[in-house]
Amino acid sequence: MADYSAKEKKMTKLFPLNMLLFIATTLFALSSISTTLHATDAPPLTIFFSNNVQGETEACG
Amino acid sequence: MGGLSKKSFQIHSLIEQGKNNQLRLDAGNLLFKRPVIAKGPGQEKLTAATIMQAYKKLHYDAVGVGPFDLSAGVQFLQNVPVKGFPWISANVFDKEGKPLFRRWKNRTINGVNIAITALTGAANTIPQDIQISSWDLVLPGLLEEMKSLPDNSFIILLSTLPAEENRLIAEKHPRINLILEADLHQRNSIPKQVNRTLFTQTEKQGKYQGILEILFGDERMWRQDGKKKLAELQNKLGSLNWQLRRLEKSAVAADKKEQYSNSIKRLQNEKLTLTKTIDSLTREVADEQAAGTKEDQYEFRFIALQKNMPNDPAIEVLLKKLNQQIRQLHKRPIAPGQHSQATKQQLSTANLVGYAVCRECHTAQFKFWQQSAHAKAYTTLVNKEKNFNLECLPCHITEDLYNSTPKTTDNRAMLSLPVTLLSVGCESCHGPGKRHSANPEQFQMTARPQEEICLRCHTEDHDDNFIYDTKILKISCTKE
Repeated sequence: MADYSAKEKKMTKLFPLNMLLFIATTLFALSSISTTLHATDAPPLTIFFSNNVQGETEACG
Repeated sequence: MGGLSKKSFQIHSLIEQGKNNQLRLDAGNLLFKRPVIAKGPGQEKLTAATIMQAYKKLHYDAVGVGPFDLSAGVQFLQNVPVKGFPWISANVFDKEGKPLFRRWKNRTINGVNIAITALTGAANTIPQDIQISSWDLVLPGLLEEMKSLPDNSFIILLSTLPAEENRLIAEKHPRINLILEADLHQRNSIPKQVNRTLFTQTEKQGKYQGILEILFGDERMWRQDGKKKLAELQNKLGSLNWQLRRLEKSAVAADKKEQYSNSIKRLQNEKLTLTKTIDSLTREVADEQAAGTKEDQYEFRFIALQKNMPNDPAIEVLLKKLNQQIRQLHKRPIAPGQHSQATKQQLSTANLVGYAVCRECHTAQFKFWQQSAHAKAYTTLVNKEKNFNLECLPCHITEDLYNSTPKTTDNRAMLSLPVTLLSVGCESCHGPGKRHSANPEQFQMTARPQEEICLRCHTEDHDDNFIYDTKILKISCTKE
């Protein structure tokens, strides 16, 4: 009968590393997608503008 | 209409709606309406300082220096107790050629670098210690400096130059993407494009708040609004179809069908051309949509700052303080004997008698007038604590509008008038009554004032709804 225990141990040891790699890659991919979406869905620039106020603060009466 | 406090409320309410990618810009001529103002600590300077404080509170990004902003001298702008006010001008220099203001600035919003610069328009009267250079001398160097910015930078020019010169700038310097204008002869001006540059400006005296929303694409080109044009063409096609059907119906019923055939043929050709244009534009719009946003797009609004709009309490505190300062400044009215000759002539009160004298003979008319807004004009100022404000007073008191010259804010004689002139009285409309009251038979008064007399105060700037023919009926006194 094949001895799987050593292999199992190795797998168990490796699993967390694989998992970490997988999570990191996924997060990276998701963040890239999110950045892309953010760039295209960026809210517009709002410019408030005025001119020739000429010292008017409020109506007289 | 208008006002700093309403403007501030509008801006803040939009921030609350989560619009944080903002620029607040003013194209210039912010502080004064005249090229020369009174020397010394006057009302105009107090008002100017308050406006600067309000703009600081509103976190303005840039304010172009207009020629009227220089009316109190450069030192006033530099020494006023509002530190770090964002004045910008690329063409105002001292006599040695040193720039007196920051020439341009930049900010990054939504990943796009935005450069803001300003050009000051020429003026007949400018302080002796400065020089205003022409745009064609300063712009090439300035745009060269801006080459250090990323290629896709968005360049905004604040300009107090005349509109025609701004168009020349756009033709010569297509790298400028947006010109916010302050041409004194233009009112609310919807965005228009010349070459690659967009132009717009608002009505003067702060009556409107302009809002421009820009959705940046990948290229610094304004997107032609294909959808809007398509809708216009489809409307036109609908109208053509209707005309054609009508003509075809008439042709069937008519005896001489040939009289319609030419018109029908012409319309059919027009329809064919139009259908081809619509097909091609439909494909373009669909392609644009499929490819996603590539060019810059914009939407605009002019918000009328109406009387009934809410105010910003923080700015109201500033304005109340300003009223108090003006009150303090003018509290000690000049004794009538101390008026200068020029002031006397400007005010022209010498031939006025006041409403009490008119009342002696014209009782019914006086009673009618007492109920009018003219009678309460001064009280309105008292209620708003503006009865010491030399900008407001001229249209809230009785003046000889038939002979007086336009008022200036130096005119402190308005502060020491008898109570019978503290309203828009009988003589404002009917002319000075001194001679008439002494000899009514020989000297007749003007029964119905000409429109130009009313327009001395009911100007477009102060009364948008003034229609002479309607208003004269409302104010006409009871007949004798």
